[in-house]
Amino acid sequence: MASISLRKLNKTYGALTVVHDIDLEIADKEFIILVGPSGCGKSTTLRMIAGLEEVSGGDLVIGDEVVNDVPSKDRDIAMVFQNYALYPHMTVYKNMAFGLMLRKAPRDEIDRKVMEAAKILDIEHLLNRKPKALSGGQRQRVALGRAMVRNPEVFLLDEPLSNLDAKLRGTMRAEIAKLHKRLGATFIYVTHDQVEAMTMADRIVVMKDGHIQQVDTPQNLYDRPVNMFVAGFIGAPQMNMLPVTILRDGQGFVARFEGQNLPMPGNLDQSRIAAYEGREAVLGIRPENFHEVAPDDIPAEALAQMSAVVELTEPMGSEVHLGLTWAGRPITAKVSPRCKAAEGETLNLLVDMSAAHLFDPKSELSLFSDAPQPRGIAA
Amino acid sequence: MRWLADHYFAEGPGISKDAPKRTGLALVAETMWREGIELMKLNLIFVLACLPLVTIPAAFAAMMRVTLTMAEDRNVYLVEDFVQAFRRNFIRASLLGLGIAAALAIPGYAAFSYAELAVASPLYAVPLALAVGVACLFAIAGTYAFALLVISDFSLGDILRLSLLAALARPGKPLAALGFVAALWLIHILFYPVTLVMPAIINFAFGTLAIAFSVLETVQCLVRAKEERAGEA
Repeated sequence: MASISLRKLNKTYGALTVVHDIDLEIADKEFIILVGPSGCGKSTTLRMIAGLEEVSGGDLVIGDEVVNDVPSKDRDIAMVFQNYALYPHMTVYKNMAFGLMLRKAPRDEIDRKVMEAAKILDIEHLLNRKPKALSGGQRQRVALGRAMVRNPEVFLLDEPLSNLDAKLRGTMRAEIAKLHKRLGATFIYVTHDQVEAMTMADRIVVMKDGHIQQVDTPQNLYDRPVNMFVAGFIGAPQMNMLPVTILRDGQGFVARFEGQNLPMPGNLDQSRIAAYEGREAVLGIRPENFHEVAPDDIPAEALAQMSAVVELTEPMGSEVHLGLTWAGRPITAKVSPRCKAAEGETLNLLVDMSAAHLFDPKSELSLFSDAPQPRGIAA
Repeated sequence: MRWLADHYFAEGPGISKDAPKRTGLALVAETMWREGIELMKLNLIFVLACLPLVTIPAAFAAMMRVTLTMAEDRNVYLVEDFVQAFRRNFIRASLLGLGIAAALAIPGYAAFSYAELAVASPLYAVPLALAVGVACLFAIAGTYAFALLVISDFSLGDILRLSLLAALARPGKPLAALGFVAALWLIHILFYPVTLVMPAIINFAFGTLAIAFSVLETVQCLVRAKEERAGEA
């Protein structure tokens, strides 16, 4: 049983607090990813779980035991580091076997476990080679293998793919996800790459400035971000934020943006919008919610017409990212590669307002989210 | 020191799963390069183990065991494997060592005597060549014998018989390996005192690894053949 609880976990360096009383429950066998910008405290949190950083306050519970003062080696965890941390003078076999050798495990057992891990990771042909000859991906597999042979209850992975090229990262993402299913262990993974987070995690923990902003499944984070930070962090290109005023329009509401009324369709919580009638709000529209032609699955009343000047086109192959200016505001739209908009041209697009988000401009909290409000953001 | 760290930690080109495995001298060179540090440690352990003199054959057998494992491209636990092979083969290796030393002493002494006589009369070159040939044959048989000793549970009689047969049938590779050993010692002597530490860290282990590579295939064939015959019986 390797459930993990962080209870008011706190980390300070002198007067500087880098992790602020965070609470988090991680279930047994869960794949949880800590994500956030550099300096948000995600690696420090992971290192506290690993026992590499002392806990300044709160409780860290693994299983049923508070492990604040339990040495790292006794926590039944294995960590994979960003730089792999392989011993360059040892062969792959010995790198993988080293932890077991230190624990004076029998040779037969070491051999069996190393061979098993090597088979799973497809590195049997590398066992008697030294890390110097290995590519980044192969080194990463060895680092994973070294963690695997210990058969830990919890795997901690600190940006393990950030040194790999994009293609290999994609491959290794799939490998790690498969590995998690196969091993049935708890995985805690730190990254600043939201694609890694979205594709692998059971749940994602979004952190900022040492505070947890939101803990949820990848789809919920995307669909129902709790605040502007999460909305902007999850999704690429990031969500467009526009200042609007909420006005009543007959039975419903509209968001008034630079003289243009954008409908607030019925699928959005009208009672919550009503609370902002006559007040300012921030309208969030994801780049993929701009369309050149009306999609069949979106009702016409949910679509708003807009005209914007194309400032930049970024063909991505499967899609085109357009840098636009809409009523003097820079926005980004994601359209199909068939769009042949030229820079400087005025483009007419439709905005899917049924997928719109609204935020309070002061607190930055979503008007629609029911998730607990995170601490540590502007009140 | 930055360049050294970069050299040590820089990513390599990677090793393809389907890359053809090196063979022959390339494989020997690769193994020596890869296991260089381990071989130096092995050499040092061997020298220390030989200090009581009576332990020389067992120490050589243990070194042969470790280098055969390297030649088989398997993982080596240097100290553990050495100590285990040393203990396991101590008596048989001592007997075998004595036997081989005695067998080498006769043609060796003969060669020495005929060499002195050949200076005076070229007629003695023929028995000299014969004596050198027999000494080489016994030396080659000795390499096979030690390899068989550590890799199998054959009786000493079987080992002597099979190693003599192997030396007669396949003398080429072990002879080349013994030539490599001789070259190492020649380098040591020629460049002394620059090469003062060579015997302590290089000559024995690197030489034995070369021997291990030279006899491995034949020894494995002999062991397999004997096991198959035992299975049929």
